[in-house]
Amino acid sequence: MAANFWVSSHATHWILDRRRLDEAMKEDLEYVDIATLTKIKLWYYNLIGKICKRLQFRQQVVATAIVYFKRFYTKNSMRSTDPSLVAATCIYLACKIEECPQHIKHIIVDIKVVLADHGGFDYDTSKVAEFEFYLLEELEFYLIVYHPYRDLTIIAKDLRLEESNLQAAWFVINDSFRTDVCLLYAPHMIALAALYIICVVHADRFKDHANSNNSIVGDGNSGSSGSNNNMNEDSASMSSISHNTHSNPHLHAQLHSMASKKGISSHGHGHHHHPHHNTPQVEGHGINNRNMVQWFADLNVEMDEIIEITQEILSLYTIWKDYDEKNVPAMIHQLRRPTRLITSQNQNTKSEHQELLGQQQHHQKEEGELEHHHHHHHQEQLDQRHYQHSQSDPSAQSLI
Amino acid sequence: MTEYKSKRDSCRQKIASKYDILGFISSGTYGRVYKAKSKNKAGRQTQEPDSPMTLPDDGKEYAIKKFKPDKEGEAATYIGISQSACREIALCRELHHENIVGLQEVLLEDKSIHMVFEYAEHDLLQIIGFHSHPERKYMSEYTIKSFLWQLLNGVAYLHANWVMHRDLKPANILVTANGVVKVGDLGLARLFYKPLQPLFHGDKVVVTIWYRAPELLLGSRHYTKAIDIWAIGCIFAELITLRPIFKGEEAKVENKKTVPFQKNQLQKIFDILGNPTKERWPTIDQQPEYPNLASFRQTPNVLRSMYQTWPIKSEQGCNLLAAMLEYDPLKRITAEEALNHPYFQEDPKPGME
Repeated sequence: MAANFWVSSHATHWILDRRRLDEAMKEDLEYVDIATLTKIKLWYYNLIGKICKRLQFRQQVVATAIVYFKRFYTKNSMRSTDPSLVAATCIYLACKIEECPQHIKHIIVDIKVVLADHGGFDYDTSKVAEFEFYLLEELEFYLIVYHPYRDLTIIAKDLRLEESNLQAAWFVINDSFRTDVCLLYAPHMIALAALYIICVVHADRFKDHANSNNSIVGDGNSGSSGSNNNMNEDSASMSSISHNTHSNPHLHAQLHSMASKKGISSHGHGHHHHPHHNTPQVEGHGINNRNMVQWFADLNVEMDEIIEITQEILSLYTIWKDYDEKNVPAMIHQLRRPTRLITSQNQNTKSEHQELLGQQQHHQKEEGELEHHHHHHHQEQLDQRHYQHSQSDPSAQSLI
Repeated sequence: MTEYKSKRDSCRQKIASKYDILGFISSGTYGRVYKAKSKNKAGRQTQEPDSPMTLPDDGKEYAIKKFKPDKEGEAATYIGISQSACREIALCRELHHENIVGLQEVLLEDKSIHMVFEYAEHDLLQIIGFHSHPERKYMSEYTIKSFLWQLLNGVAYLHANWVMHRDLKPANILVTANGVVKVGDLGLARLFYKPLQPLFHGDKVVVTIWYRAPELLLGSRHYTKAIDIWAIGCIFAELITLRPIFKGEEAKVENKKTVPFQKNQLQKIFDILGNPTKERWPTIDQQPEYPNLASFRQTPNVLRSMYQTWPIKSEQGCNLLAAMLEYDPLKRITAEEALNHPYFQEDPKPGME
């Protein structure tokens, strides 16, 4: 388990396919469109971050709490539950599992403070404690979660990555928890995608930002600096990145060339190898854009999966750009009121969002090379890996 | 949330609908353990052990551990599941090994967690007791070696997965009717891969006193998985002689903030292994309680001459024991190395049954 991701409950029970996530949103989407739902979720992820920050929890606790929260909502609608109670309980359980327990009273005090201007928090200790049972049940009592940070650290060491790049990639991983990638992909793939975003896709643009400014933009508070939520101090500096994400010819060309070099497509079953066995070495100390591209190209992993994750994260920045937390209460109200969206409108907004989220995918599809049905594919890959890696090999730590 | 809760409550299966409770096994601070038998629904024989939340309708026996609700204060407000239950659930749900007690499922009822474990008839404490009363009747070397090998095998698996048990003692080592060893009670166990806080921070006192490693007795903040190996060394000796090897008296905890110096326990260790020196344990002077060592009388290492008087004669057995009872945690043998020790290559070779 802890030494081998592939036999963990995270790998065997909690890597889901996109259809399952779509299914879980069905009820909520009868009341709000998907762009709104995405923003409501973003608000709750930020809320978990804010509470954990007040409690001085480390990022690992934030990550685990958010994963619990997401796993809960793969089985329930937001509408029929109270996400702030769910969030509070996720934080309480996560800090115990990550071995930095805090008294439940302290947690509730901080939640009340954070939620004071956002409708308050009406639950006492016994209510949160009672809800823990329900949460445990929804999580199927699988509580150990793997995060990409560990993999990133290992890869960075291997690559002798510059501190600023490591930090920037770390921030991208923080942001990735606001997307669904942690439900869809293995953590080492997310770590690689973060590295890919920093070192390949946005290498030049990012540099200036990472060095000069690690408190970040794009927190949805444009113009409301007084009531600022500081959550995104740990977020990647992506305002610069978010523009251009869906029409970046440079990126596009790179992705394309890498994908075709590796022969990635639906027939590429030959190389589902653990990168551990074949990690290309980057010569010299400095990592530049060019040899990172080569490093990724030589890496024996499914490059198309890394590209999917990359796109998923980059599309978050697109959504984030016009996210304003002041609008969220109205959105939550809309979700809770009994009026359904009329069907045609529903469809309209759906397709609009698909356009938003799917722009990168559309690009891929045009290329032909990258066309694939990743849902099925993904599961197959997992199964194969599962058998390939001996259970008792502790060196096969979650990758590289 | 009322609607959500009633929906969930209504589909929750009652323990009584899945298991017949056969009797009471034991109780502790955590709660109680019951022996149970799953109701044989379809007469199916096998059940995929990994499949969650399925009916174990195999008519097999199980041990159901019911945790007392964690309450505090006079008003007894419920404050959620205990850290110990959290750990045990989280770890047991991931670990699958022949020599680690298997968790069948977790159930909720009466605001209590119920962990359903595979059933093991015996434990080493009981087996040692059985061989000591009414008269002392030593265990065969084959039996001891088989138990020891399986215990090491289970612990090697834990360690390979970055799990430290932290409470190995005869009572926690279960044995099935077929003689298969199952390491149990992971309530103190935890992951030690890059902990967010030093291990000492969370639990001030770990491991039952007689099995507690010298680095813990000397107040080490950054102890390692080697503490489990020390405990196994103690258990090995106890299996041979049927007596705890270091039977010290525990200095009682006076207040929750400070951990008392366990002088008597250390004296028992020194009486057999001799005083630890900088030669034997180069970093001993960095241990917080090091200054206290000056007050001990000088004693020689008599482990080998003592071993000569024991019923097992194997020289390699003595070497392995000495390697597990090494003072310096860095020099102490690892579980993996111990499994490959020459002692297990010589006759009688260990068996699983």
